[in-house]
Amino acid sequence: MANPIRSVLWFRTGGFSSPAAPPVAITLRHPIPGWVVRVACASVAAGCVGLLATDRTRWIIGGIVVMMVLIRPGGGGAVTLTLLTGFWVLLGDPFVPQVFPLLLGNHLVIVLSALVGSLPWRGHLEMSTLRSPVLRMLMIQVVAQSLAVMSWWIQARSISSIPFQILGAIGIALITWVAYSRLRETV
Amino acid sequence: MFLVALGILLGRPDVSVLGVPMILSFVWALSHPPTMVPQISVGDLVSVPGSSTVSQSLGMRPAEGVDTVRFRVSAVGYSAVEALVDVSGPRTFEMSATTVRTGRRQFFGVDYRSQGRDSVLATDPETIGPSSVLLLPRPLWLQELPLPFQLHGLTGSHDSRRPGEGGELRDVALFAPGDRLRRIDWRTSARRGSSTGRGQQLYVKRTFATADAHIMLVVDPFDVVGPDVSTWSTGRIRSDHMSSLDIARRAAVSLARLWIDQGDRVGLVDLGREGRLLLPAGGRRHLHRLTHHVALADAGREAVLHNRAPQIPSGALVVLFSTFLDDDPAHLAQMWRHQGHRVLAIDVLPRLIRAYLTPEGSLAHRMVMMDRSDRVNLLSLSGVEVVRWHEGERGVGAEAPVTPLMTLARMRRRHR
Repeated sequence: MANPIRSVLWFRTGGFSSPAAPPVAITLRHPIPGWVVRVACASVAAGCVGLLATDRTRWIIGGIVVMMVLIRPGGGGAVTLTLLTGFWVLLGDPFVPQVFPLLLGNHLVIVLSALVGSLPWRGHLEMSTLRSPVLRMLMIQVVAQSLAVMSWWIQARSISSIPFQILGAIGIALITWVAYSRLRETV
Repeated sequence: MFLVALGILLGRPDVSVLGVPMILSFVWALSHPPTMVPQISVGDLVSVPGSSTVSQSLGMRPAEGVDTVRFRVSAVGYSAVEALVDVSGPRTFEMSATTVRTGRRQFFGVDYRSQGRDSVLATDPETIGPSSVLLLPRPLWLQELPLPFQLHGLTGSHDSRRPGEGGELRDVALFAPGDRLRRIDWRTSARRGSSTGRGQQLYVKRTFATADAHIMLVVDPFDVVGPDVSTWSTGRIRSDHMSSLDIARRAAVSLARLWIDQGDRVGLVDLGREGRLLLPAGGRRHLHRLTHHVALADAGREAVLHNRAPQIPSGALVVLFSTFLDDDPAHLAQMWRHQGHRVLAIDVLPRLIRAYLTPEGSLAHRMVMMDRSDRVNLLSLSGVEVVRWHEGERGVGAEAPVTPLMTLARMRRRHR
């Protein structure tokens, strides 16, 4: 007759496998477990989805993207989330107020997933590794939120957007050229 | 970029603005690319004598444009650890591991990768280490050990059966030419002289000579197994489990220390490498040399076939450390016993953990253990004394086989 305790142990040990070997110890300054950052990143992503998810279909699609961010943060989940929310904004009324928190949330997901992207669940990161990316994010947010306010003002006043479209196209071309040349130099 | 372009094309600035942070982050990262790779170095591997901890420092020097370094520290028998650290200034990390294993071991292979701003740019992974260290076995304190059937020399700490200059009284005899005057037993001379009427006869006290013992330790480094039977097929022994070879090393050093402290001469044969023989000698320096040899005992790349048993000095006590999982060491022990040596077989199989065995593995293990049991019984029948050396599972609070060894030591004293 099978021993019930052994059966329980079989599940506990993952099927006759020995327990994991002890880890190597390393001294880190204020370490944060990688899974904490992943969960935080996925929570922010879920918040972004929640801002625009009006029906069950959007929740399901958004849920899949949040799972992508949680399981493989460095695997394009953050970019997919930005594209998805942008698409949903495009489908809705022009300039809904959710754009402002969405701008912050999407950016936070991108920063956190870039940081924790290749780190496993059981890995650790030092608290100080968050400082520079968060500072950079705040500076970029000042610019991005200002642009958002400006866009909202333009749309609210019904000013012709053609000069701004031309300006934007020139800006994109310039940025693409700069990025391409820097990348070529770096590579 | 796609969102920004889409928003511009459709005249929807609220869509465009969502793509702005990503573009700005990307441009920022590219405008401050890493100009050089951070210098990463490791210090010396330190093993504190008497401690089971091995440590090493990992130094990182910052480089322009590099924000973080992601690294993975691994060692055989341990789970790897991954971390992401800030390298805005010089950093030093301490890597450490606790082990009960001995011998030449490698620690701390570090794979690392430098990352620029927001991980947009990263270097190719590079590796540093691992470093090698020789971990010496720590001896246990023992009290009394068996001796060979035959003792050597005219000096030493043991009483031999030959008359000579020693401490233990042999008999009282008539004074003869060559006897030292200080050996005259005046009390016996006075008593015997008065009772027999031969007062002019003198009697001397005669003593047993002292002698030392020759001991050859034979370490069998083949069939190295850990306590977890499920790892026997893979050979992956955890760092917190003592393998049979670790137990053998510890047992050999523990016995050697007591014998050398007693003034005996101890040698070593490593069955793993042909020609690795340390002739019997005594003294503290020899004990250090022997400890190093024992720590280096390992199964070489090619198995050594012993058609003839390694030469053992005549009359030496042979102490064989083996798991007896195969026939070769048992045959050698029997051969030495037939040559007239006293042979002590120390069984160094660890206390076994069978919880993680599959049913097939359990069956295989039972068969192997039955075979081994027959082998050990045969050894006992052929006159080889078998002692089981028990060690704690984690090497902590280890119990040495003090009682069986003391029993053996007292049993054979009359044969010397």
